[in-house]
Amino acid sequence: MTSQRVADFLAIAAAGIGVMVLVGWLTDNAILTSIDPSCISMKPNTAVCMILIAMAVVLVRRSPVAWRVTARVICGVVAAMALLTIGQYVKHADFGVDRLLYHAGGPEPYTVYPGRMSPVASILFLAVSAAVGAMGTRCGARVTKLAWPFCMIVTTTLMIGYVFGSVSLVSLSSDTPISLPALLAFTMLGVAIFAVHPDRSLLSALNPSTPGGLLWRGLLIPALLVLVVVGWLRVQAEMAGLIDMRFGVALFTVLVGAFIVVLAGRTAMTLNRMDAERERIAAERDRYFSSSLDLVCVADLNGRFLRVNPAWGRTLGFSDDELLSRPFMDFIHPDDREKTIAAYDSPAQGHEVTALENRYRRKDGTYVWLNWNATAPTGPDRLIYAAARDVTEQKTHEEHRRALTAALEHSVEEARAANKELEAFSYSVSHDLRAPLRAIDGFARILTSEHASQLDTEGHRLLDVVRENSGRMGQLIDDLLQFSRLGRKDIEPRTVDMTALVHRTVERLRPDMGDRKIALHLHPLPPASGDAALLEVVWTNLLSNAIKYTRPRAEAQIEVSGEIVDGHRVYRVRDNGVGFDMQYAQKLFGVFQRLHPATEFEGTGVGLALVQRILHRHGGRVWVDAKPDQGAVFEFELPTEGGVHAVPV
Amino acid sequence: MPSQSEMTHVEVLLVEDNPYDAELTIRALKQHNLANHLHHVTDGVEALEFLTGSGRYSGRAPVVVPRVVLLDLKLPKLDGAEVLRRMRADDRLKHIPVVILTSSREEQDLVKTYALGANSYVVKPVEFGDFTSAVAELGMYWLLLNQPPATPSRGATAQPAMARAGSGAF
Repeated sequence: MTSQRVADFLAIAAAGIGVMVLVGWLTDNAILTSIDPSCISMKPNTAVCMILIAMAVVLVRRSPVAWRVTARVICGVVAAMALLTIGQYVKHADFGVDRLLYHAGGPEPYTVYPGRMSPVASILFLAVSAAVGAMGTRCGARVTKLAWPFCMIVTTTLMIGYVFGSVSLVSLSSDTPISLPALLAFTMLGVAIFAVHPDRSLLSALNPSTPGGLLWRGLLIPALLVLVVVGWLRVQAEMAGLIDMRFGVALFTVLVGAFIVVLAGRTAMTLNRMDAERERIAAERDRYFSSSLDLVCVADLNGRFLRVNPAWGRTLGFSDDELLSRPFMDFIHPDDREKTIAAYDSPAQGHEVTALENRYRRKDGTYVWLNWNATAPTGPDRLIYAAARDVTEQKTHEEHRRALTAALEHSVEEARAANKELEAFSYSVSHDLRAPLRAIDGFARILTSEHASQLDTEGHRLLDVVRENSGRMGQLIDDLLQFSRLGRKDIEPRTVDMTALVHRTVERLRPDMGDRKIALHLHPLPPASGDAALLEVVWTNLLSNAIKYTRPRAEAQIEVSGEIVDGHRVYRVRDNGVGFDMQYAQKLFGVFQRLHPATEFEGTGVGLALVQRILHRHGGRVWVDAKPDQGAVFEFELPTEGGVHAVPV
Repeated sequence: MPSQSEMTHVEVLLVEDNPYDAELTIRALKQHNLANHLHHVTDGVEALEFLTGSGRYSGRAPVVVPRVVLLDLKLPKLDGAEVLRRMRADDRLKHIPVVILTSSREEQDLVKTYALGANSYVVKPVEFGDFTSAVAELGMYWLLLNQPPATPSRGATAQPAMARAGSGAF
């Protein structure tokens, strides 16, 4: 239930009392008009005023303007009625307002003015109508703040008067006391006015979890109740003649004192318990703060530390006083200040700082890298709560790694440049080598054809040797060119049908086989991922080798097979040719390396080097198994996918 | 310095810095009677001077342009590609057929010179027999078979044609 609904409820209850009294007057029922028929009754005009002012309390807080205006008019009417009544008392006059609703004749008990509102009620009506009239205006809360304690103090005092049966207290030395129903109704109105503008600080003071609230609720309020109850009992007992006045005072003092001692003791124990708990929590927080391995601190927006934990001293070597005496910017590496200010400005705009890295100076002049997390400024003092971690070691590793990477990149770049230079060199040398060869071959030929008569048989043979060697050198240069060109060519991996590729290559090599008897066993092969043109070079070399080195066999056997092993594609060319000694196997794949004299088997020694280079560029490899005179098995392997080197190396 | 009359009847301009390559080329053309009106220059600058009648050839009136220019790529001073580029940028020379005669088998040279407007690209074979027949075939094609534009300085554009000369040609 909100405090506004409490206000409405209490106002309606006060109006209910007014209605009850009016009904009492109409039915001549003294219980309804005065609750206790031995006491003074609540007058009809007081009852009407009570109903009106209670309506005003409800209406003044509703949104339609007409209702609010109506409420303020009602306040005016009630205030006017109260003022007229007070005027009558002061001037000892009769303005006729008392008999507007009251027509009963005869004297009334406790008053010389039958039908007249009591002076206390008039004053309370003035206070209440002022408070209600001010509601919703700028000074509403301030007027309320004055009105409700006034109501409560007056009504409480008079209530105690009723409890003790003190007529002089109830009438406040005037001729006419306030009636019991009016007193109850005003108490309700007082609380209702408080509920309209509740005083937060007062409410929080009553909160039992605070020491203040505990004092109020545990000690002061019960003590007041005890005072009233014990006092009432004492008065009753004295009036009944059970005890005399001295005994009454003694009994009152002992009882009230005992109650207060018990209440105070209980309250003190609770307070002590609360304090101990608070201290335990604070100690725990302090322990957490001071034993944290992270560098924890509290800083203000002026750029100073307010509190640092011992981890700071351990990490930086400065004492707490040294750290707190200077702006923390003094400890930050000059190169990192700008980014720190930028990050520090960002929490000032309501943002948190996360993963900020900067360097803090240690007492020995070296720097540590700190990684920061900080709250946005919080609390009434706009403080920043931050924690940092020493990440110097990670940073050093990181820098080391970065330097290594840079060095590596540099050497890769150098290697690439050297490679490029080498390619350019071999390109240009190969071309320049061709021109003299052409001249040697050309002029030797001219010599044989145009000056034949001047040469004997030996002269012709020698010229043929010259021409044969220049032709061989031309072939070497062509092979070397192809080999060097491979280093520059980009590989475009595609799915290659290896079975079809092998068949095509065999058809192309058919002229080399002549009319030899060759048994070719071509098994289906798994497809490969690679550059089809380059893979064709691989097959060409391996197959032409097989054809070449089986030449001494009466029936050559050449078998091509392949399968997928552990995700790798393996291909195989097996022949029953002359084979070789495995101790020379590694030599086989070097440029210009040959195991057979060119007079026996022609060739330049580039083919297998080319094969190996192509397979390396594809992320694959090639190996061989052979025995002298028992044939050779060449096998190569290609990765399934993604094994192709993107960069030419 | 050749005489003025020789200058006016040039049908083949050979741009070649290697004297032995030049000799072999001329010899191959002579065998087929194709070198009667041949002029040989040894660098790119001289080639352009000859064609435009400037510098060493300032006396030459370039009335009759060669029927074909045999151009090596690797040349002193100005290389073959640059000579070709300047010829194609010159209104008087852009219709002259140019055959690249080179040792280079490089794809990039091939692509570059065709892009610059070469009419043919021939790789010089090392073997003399192949070389002789290649030169002879391309000489015959450009001097005997190919029809040049009626007015070489303006009019119809010479169609780029590729001579498949011998096994060494691309």
